[in-house]
Amino acid sequence: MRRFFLLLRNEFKMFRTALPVHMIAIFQPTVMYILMAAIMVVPTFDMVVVQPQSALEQDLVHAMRQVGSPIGPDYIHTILTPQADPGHRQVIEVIVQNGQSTALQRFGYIDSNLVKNLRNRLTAATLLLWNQQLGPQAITIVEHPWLPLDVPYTVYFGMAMIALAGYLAAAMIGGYLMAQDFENETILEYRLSPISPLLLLAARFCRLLITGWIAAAILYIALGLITHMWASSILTVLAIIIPLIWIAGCIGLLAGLLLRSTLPTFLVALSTAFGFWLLGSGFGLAAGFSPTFESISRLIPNTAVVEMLFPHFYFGRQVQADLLGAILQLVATSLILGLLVIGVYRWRVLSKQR
Amino acid sequence: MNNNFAIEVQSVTRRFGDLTAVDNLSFQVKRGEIFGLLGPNGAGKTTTINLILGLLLPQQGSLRVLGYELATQTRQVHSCVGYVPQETNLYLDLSALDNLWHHAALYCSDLNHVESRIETLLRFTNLWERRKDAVRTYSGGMKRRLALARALLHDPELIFFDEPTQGVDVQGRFALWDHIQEQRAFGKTFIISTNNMLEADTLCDRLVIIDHGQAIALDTPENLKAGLGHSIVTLRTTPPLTDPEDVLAQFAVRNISNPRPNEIRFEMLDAETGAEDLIKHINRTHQLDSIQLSRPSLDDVFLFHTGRALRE
Repeated sequence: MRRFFLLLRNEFKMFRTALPVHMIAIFQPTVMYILMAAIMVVPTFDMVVVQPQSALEQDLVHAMRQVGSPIGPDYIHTILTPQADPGHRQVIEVIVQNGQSTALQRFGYIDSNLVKNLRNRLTAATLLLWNQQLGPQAITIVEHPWLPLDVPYTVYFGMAMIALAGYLAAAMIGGYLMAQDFENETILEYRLSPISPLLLLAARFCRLLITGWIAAAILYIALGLITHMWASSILTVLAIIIPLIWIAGCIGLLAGLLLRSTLPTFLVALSTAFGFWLLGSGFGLAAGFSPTFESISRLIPNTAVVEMLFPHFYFGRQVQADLLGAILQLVATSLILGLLVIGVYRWRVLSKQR
Repeated sequence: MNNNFAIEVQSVTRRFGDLTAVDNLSFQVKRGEIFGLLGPNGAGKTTTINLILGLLLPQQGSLRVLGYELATQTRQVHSCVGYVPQETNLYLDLSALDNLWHHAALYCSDLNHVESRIETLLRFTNLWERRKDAVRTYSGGMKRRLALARALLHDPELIFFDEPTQGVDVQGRFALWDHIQEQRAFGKTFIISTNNMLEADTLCDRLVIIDHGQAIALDTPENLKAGLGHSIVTLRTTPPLTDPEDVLAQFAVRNISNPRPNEIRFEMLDAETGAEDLIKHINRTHQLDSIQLSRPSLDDVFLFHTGRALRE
């Protein structure tokens, strides 16, 4: 046991041999999350409206201010302007066209997705006005959230990035250190060592697990500070991502052992991390996409992990229909990759060349 | 099994495709010896070391190291050998202490005395004062000394040292030689692969010259030099000898060269007895300014056995 802890201590000392790689691998997902949370994901949209003159126009502005989540933020922040201007990204003006009041929504330099979002918000506001006119005949939409709070998208996005953070740290650092051992010929120390390779790999996996946890915990804290949503238990979150970190460590080590060169290994770690993140429910639950995409997504370990994390950020709401199947999938993948690492390590490091 | 031998290489052959790197090679290394492996580039020295270390499998023959059958007892062999490769494979961003602790974790089954042994070895190699500095800041000689300390850490009986003093300054070279001699006094066996003939002559009790994968000479440096049977003669004349082959045709000389314009150098059999005749012969046509007779060096032995053609 003393030898194992000495190996583990040495593994952590290797931090000094690749400081920038460690910094990138551990902090990159958190930095990316903070930037994306600040720039991209905003529930309340600024919508410019020409200064209301008539009572109808004032009613429209009032209705726009009422549009929002019943248990969350407003969806529209109105900004009044004296007149419509082509320089506005979007501006609304009430005009009379063919004897009817018309809300004319003009769009400037924005993309079709944002046009859709702005139009939907205006439609929601006009629906409010319409229903007021219809009186008892109105068809009212009642939003009934099951959760006590309208959980912002930044929570889902961050939750999926916790999985990414653990994966990236383990794959990148595991692969990099292994490839470096080949490039610097320090692998000879391992080749000639009489120690059991299982003990060596156990120490390395343990170190990658702790590193993956650190990266995930940093992102967890950033997520909590930004959204004020804290998972029910950080220990549970860290426990759930263990198999993913293990899988990432295996993929990193395999890349290092097979490629024996830093840059290609680095690229394998990076591309699998981001590929798995995008395909593995990184931007939304797999069930919300096409059946084909969902089928592919379910092959990726991130999907199982994200769906297991989900209840801990969404007030216990379960989305994993087959929890046992997901656990079995992660365990089987971990076992197969673990055995593969042992086999490839024996082949690439310990075997005598024939 | 003979317990007097640290290494027994018996009719070992190793091929890489069409290239026979080691060809029916046999030699023994006695325990406590400093044994040299000499040979031109591509002669098969590194392959031989890799075979003895168990990194390569021979296609024919057998190897025993410290009494263990290498083919089946590799792990036992690895626990008893230390290796200092030609390219010093240290973790440059770690300190000397960290490098040694890393090695201890990989090689030392008993960790109780590692701390004191590390201190002993770092003091022995004069690195104790710099033990906490990153190895990147060390000179070439310091790195080689640290690599030696690392190879000795698990107290191996047999140490392989590939090009011990390559890229090391004169002071560092002598320090390393002293360290090797001191360790030999503790009963360690050293296998040294080197292209430095002075190093081989100074350090090695015995040496083998390998060429084209075969052992072409094996003996003590003294016997190898004496075995050539000739002396090196250096002549200076006025005017210079322009046709030395013709002038010296009646003497048993070979390998005539012109190190300087008015100087020729050649190997001569029985030079001690034939020198007087040689002087008389030269004086008939030239003024002999000086004549020097010397015993052959290990360089001469090496060139005699391997030739002067450049190797890739």
